Amino acid sequence: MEEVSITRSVELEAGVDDVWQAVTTPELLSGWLEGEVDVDVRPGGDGVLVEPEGTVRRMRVDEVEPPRRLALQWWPEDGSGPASTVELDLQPTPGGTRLVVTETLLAPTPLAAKASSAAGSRWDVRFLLLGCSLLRVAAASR
Amino acid sequence: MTPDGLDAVFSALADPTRRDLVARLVREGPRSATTLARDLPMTRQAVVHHLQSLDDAGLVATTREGREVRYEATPEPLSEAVAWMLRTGARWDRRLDRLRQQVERRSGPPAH
Repeated sequence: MEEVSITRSVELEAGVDDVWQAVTTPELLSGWLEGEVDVDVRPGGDGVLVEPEGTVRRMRVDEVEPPRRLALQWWPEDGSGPASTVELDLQPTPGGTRLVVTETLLAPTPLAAKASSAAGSRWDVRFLLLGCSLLRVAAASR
Repeated sequence: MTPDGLDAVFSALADPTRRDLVARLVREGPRSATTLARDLPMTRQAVVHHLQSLDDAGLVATTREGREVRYEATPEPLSEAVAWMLRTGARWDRRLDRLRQQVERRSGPPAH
């Protein structure tokens, strides 16, 4: 099965313990995650992220393996968007820490039923081809 | 479309031949399997088989023109998935920029 997911990897000039603090301490999370965070960082723990525009995002922590891995699920409380899983993996590097973030759709947004072949329907070819290249990148990085 | 529908979109496009077929239909407009097979190193039957997978995923639609079935690309389901990927990726880019500033300000380079 092909998953709908995105991955980002960053090299941080900070020790793995400092990065772990930044991704598991609510006050520090609030500083970079876009919103106010309150979360009980243990497996099964609940959390909430109030985004700047007011969206309330509920969280449930799935995995906590200090200082290497944190996995959670989150979803907008009002059901305005899909639920997804977020995995944060930390690896010590000579220069600091590599943080790999993977967010994967859990319940995709309802999509239009099979599109009709209306002659007037227009779409952006570059966008489609970009999609295809993203899929190739996703496949190559597995 | 159900979650199964989105799976179908992604598995249909996991195959390079099917990506090529969709790209051709987007570029060149509606085509019959016979016309497509003429430009590709495969049989008409193989082309039809791939088009069927794309049809199941909602990525192509068929119209009958006389004795011919013509296939047309309908990439809306893909756009939805790609839109999510672009939006979500952009958010993480912003978040990770801020995280970098935050942790590097806080701890400085680690001791070796």
